[in-house]
Amino acid sequence: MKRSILIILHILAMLLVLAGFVSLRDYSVRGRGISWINSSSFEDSIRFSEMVSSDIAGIKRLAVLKKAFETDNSLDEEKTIVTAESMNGGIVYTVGDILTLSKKFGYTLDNDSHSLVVNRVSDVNNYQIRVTYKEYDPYYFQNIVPGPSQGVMNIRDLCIETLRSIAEYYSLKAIYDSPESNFQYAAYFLTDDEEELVVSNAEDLSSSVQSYGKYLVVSSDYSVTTNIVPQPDNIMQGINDFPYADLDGNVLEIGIDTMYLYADRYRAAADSFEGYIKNAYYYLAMLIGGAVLMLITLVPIVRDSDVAKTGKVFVMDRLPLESMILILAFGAVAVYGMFRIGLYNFMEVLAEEGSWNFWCKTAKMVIVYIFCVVILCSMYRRSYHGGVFYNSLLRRGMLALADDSTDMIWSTVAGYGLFMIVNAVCIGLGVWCSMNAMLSRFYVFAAIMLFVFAGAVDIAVYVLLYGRRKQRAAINKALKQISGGNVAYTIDEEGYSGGELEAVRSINSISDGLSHAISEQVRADRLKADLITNVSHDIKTPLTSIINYVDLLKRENIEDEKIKEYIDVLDRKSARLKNLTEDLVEASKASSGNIKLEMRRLDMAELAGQAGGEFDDKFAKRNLEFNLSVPEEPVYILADGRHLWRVFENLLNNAAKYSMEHTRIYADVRKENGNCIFSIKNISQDRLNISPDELTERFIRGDVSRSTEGSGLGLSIAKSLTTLMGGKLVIEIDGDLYKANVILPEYNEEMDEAQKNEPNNTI
Amino acid sequence: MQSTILVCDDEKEIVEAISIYLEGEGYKIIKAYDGKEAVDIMNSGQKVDLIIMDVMMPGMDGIHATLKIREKLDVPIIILSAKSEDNDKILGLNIGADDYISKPFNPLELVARVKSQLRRYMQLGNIAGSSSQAVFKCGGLTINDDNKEVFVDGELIKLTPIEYNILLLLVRNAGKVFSIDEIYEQIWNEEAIGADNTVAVHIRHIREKIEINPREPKYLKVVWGVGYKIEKQ
Repeated sequence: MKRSILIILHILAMLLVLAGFVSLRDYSVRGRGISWINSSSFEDSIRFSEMVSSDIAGIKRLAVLKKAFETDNSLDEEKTIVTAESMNGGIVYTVGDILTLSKKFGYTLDNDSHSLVVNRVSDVNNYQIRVTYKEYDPYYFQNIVPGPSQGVMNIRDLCIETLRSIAEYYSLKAIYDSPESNFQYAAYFLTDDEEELVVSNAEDLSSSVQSYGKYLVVSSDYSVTTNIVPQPDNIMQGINDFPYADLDGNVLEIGIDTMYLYADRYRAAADSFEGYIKNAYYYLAMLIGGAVLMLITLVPIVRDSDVAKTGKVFVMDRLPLESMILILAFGAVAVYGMFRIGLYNFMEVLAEEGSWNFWCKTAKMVIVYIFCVVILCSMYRRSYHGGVFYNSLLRRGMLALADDSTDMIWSTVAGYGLFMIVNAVCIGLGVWCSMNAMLSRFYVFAAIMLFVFAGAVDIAVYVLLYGRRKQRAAINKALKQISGGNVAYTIDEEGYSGGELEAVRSINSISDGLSHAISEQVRADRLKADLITNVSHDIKTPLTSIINYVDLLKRENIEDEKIKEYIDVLDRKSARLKNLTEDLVEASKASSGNIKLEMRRLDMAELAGQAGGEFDDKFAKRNLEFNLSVPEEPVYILADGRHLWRVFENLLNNAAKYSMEHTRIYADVRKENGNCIFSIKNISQDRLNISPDELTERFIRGDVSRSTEGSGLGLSIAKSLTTLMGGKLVIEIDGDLYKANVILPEYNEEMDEAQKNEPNNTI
Repeated sequence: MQSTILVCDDEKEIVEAISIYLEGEGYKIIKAYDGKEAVDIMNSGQKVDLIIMDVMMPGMDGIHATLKIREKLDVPIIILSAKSEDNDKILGLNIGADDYISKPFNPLELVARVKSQLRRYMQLGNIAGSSSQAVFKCGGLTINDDNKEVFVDGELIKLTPIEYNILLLLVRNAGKVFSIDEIYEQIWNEEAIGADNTVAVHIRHIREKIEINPREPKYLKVVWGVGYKIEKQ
């Protein structure tokens, strides 16, 4: 079955449960579980109790309004109901005043429906008054805070409000004043004028009240006698309006004729209850069936979710289980809080007062239900990733305790615990002392000392933690330095202790080891270069003889063509050997960095011009046209002139040697992103079936050299020298187009400073 | 006049080869095979006009021999060594040698350097005597501006007018470095615009004419990336 259908079914089932619950609840009998469904009467139901409760509220309101508007059981227009202040001084409004004023504004009362009638909207002069007292609203005086703007309202609104109260008075009177009611009552209140006020629709109820089918009596000592279950919850609330009168007899008597002789609201409710009880079993079935359906649909929804199948994980699933539950619980509480704020207002409009509590509970249930389902889904997904409890704080904690570093954990816990205890004890004692400060000066002194001590401890702990943090920052810096290549970086051990000291020692030993290894490496490179140099010296001596005697042979008058040819071969090869030995020494020195650099400010454009001049003849010999373009202003770089010349020389030499005849060689000098670039482009005579890397790394990689003149080490030397001077040599090959770029950073003053600060530039 | 040259090297074949070349030029050769021998010959009072000295030799090496000889005599000494590093050359020149040739050497260069050293040694003072306002000297390089003649170690060098002007500019301001543009503006009297090989090419031609080894110039030095100068001597 499709997941969406399942979800819809689930929601429908939830609604079913809700509906069943709502229906059952209305007439259920508290304290009797579900058994009421078999044999129950309206009088035993919650509904009944709620009706009584609402009637008690009605009686109390009626008492207030009677006190406000009535004398001798009828509306008294002479009664003062509102006192106010206007610009002309204090005003007193009687009921009659308000009725007259209201008429002016076009408001009257409908006598049958007891509601407000607006006849016309008049633009009678409306004005502001500050109301200080309303007879019909005994809370009013308590609720307003004395102040210039408090209680200010305009006279029209006051009229409407008063008229509404009068209407309410009439309608309550209609309900409660009639003796022909199944609801018989007598209530004795004490007004705020200390007068006794009796509200009743029955004569001499005190003797007969216990004979009614359902009754409720509040005696003079406020003890309640009743057979109404559950007991209405607003019996005593009356005390806030008007207190019950201080009598010898009962203060509230209510009796309900359960024969329902009169056709009133109680009989109507009892009749509908009878019809309802017949359906109670259906409602119960709805509730149970809905609940079962919810469960049935929930399982596949959780299990067959794509998430579980594909192993997809939400952010919440990565949190430890307990944290997730806690966060969701907070979320649920927050949602309920918003519900309270937002939806209460709707509820108050849409639902009767008696059911508010119910709706709140329902909302709570729904939220808790969603919360549980979400957790269930997450737990199910978790079961695919190492188990439900795999990622839980409990498991982590247990693992941590089982770890080798138990000591560390306990020392941390103990330290923190001690800190907390000291704080708690000091602050607790301090608060206790300050509460007793009245008793003796000692307590004042002790409280101050305790707070100061706690503060001092906290500051000391802060300083300690800050120091640790600083040390850790130093350790991090050292690690960064070392990983960044500054292997000689060490930390002064002074001031460190404990774990930090260990870390510092480890770092220092790593740094020692690394710098030792690197200096060893440098030494090895130097030895290698020295070895090559020495070997080359030893080769040069016999080579000198070979070259000289070949030369002497050449000078002999030799007729034999064959011998001449042989001598020529000897001549060429010995010359090549000479080049090789020289280049070999240079390449080994350059690649091992065993070269002294004399860095100074140079003009790359000038150097390019000089190089062009040096190669003029060589290019001309092969009919090559050399095009150099340089910017007008100098292109300053920091470099060793002789070595950079060597780089240029090698590049131009290659161009002169390997370019196709009758082609052009383009060279230019330019600035780009803080770099100065010399680039030279030429068309190669031979196929360039070799990668740029192979061209420049011949010496290091020992690739097979091309069997032409020269050592084939020129580019390798050029590259090493450029790198040593802080630049880059980039070779690009595009078909027959050969391009070499020498890239060096543009000169600035800081370079000179750096150069001075680093006198030992023999790398 | 036949000059006598002392050739000192532990490699007999090299001494032999050098002898063949120099005898071909008409010089008289005295052979020595280590430093001690060379010092002994010099101490024996024989007339020697020039010494060619190897560095790496068993017993007393060329450096020590040179130092020993220099204690008494100022005869020109050319160091001949397989060590071609800058440091080695500087060391050799600093201890009193007049020139330095690295192995393996070009026989023609050797002969040229020998001739040059001998001319300077023999004719020192000859030209100096006829000095006038218009004569500029810089080591072995002499320019007589009256008749536009240039001598290197007494030998007349033929330069084109532009080459002559460039060289004169540099010699008159010996030690100062001139950039390509500066030289162009001074010689051609117009503003230098854009890149042109002209000056650099002329400089190379001058070097080829006045230097024994243009790649390692003695007088007209290239300050790479800055310009050109005549070394003040």
